[in-house]
Amino acid sequence: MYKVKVENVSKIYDINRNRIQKILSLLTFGTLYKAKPFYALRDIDFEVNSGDTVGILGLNGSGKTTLSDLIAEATVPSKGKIHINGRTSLIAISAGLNNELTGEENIKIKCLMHGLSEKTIEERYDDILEFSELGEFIKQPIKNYSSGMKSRLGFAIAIHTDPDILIVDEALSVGDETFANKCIDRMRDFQKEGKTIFFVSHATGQIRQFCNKAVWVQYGEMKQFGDMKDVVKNYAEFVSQYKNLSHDEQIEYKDKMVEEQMEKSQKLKLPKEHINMSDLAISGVLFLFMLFGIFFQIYSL
Amino acid sequence: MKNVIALLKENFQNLPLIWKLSLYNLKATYANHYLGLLWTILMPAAQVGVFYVVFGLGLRGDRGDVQNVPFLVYLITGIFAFGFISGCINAASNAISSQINLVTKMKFPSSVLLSMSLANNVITFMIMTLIVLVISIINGYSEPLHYLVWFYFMFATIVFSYSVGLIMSSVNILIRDFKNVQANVMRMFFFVTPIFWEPEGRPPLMSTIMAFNPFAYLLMTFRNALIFDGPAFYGDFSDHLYFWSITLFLFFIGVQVHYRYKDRLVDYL
Repeated sequence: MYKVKVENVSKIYDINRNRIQKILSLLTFGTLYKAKPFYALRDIDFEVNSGDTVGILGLNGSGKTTLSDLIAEATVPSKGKIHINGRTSLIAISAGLNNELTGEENIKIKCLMHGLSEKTIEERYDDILEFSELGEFIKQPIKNYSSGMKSRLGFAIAIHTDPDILIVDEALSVGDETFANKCIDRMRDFQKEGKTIFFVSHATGQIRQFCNKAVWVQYGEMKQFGDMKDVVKNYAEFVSQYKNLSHDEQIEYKDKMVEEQMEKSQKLKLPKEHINMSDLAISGVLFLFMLFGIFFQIYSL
Repeated sequence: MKNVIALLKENFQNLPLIWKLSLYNLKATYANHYLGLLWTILMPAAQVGVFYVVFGLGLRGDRGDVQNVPFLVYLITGIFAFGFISGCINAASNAISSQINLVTKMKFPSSVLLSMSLANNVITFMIMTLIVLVISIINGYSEPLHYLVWFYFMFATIVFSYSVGLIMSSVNILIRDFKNVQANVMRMFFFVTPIFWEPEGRPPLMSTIMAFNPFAYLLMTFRNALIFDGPAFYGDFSDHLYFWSITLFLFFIGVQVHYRYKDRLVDYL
């Protein structure tokens, strides 16, 4: 039984910045509009079982964060489907905290939003506080926190919301080593409980430490998915090759790849939106009703 | 229709959550103020002060009471209620763009954000209603049974501002210019709504504008409920029909717009 199944998923961004066309699209419900699609992710397809820890590898701008957002259900794929059995929790650097509120209030808000009851929050509050190592600072507003403190709090909250699937998006790179190790220990506990973890990184070090599978994303496409050792080996080979290039060659390579990504994007069409006829009919009826209301008001003046 | 049901379901399922979260938000807004929640009264009170001096004592001259209440009470109810209505519309219109940080990294229904922002306003408005209620009861302005119409006023205001908010919260992100347009439209409505002027004895143009102004309908409903000695409800059948036919249409369109764009708004920011 799979835990997360990513089925031919693509994430398309529209990079058409023509304002007039955008307004036209808005008014005509997308019928009079020429999109300029750009595939941030294209045909990603893999399946992960419970107990797996998956590393998501890739260079900057390859689509790692897009993929992790999709798995966390924070965004929706443009094409394809993601099936998830269970609750997800995404840990990204300082994301999703309200800067005006204190750490304490943020813990409560975030836990409430994750669907925990007040009683459960009360019970877990001390654990969260202890894990975050914030001590007295928990009464301070988040805006006074350092980036390490924020990520500690974010991590502490996320692991206490009983996720079945934990997604860690480079969140460990901000904290110091002792905290990172503590998080890794905690993730090992999760592994033992048979939970699924996704671990996003551009470096292979931490992925080598505790992942058993890996996905390599390269300019929006899935280069490889499988056993961690194979993927990491190939990725490391690629990176060392890439590093050996001179600075100009590196930029040239990047430009070439992005251009290719663009070109491939142009050939594919955005999924057509279908207009729901019954909704259109209802809005027509309601529009007529509104006109009736307006005319009745004019008449009765 | 599927979307309408989904929206209602989302909101009713999260009702306790909306309440709890908006209480926290309220706390956050005034966390750094020494006077805290008192500001929700102090700001409209200052506005009432200025308007009373300019219009009540200055421009208006000594024209006495409006219906059965002194001008000051008329002005207070106008400013409190209009502040609530426009506050609801503004908060709902900015609900998504202002709270997007909290939800970009998790699964959370964005229609609940709108309800949360409305709930904030409802809480502060309860305090103001209480003040008006005390004034009204002490002076015996309205009949006790008429006070119940306040609930109708709340329902109508919430549905109306939620509908406008559904449309504007998406449109404001897609086309930023609308933020400025909206601010100007709201300012315009402040002057064409009978807040600091009374409809009686005005040129017929003003009563025509009033008949087509949903804000005036809501505001007068509030006054009829709490301070006027006339009928419990404001307006006749055509006024009710006009208001609800517009609101219903806006609501339905709003739901469609919201569901069409809610998953894509992050891409536009």
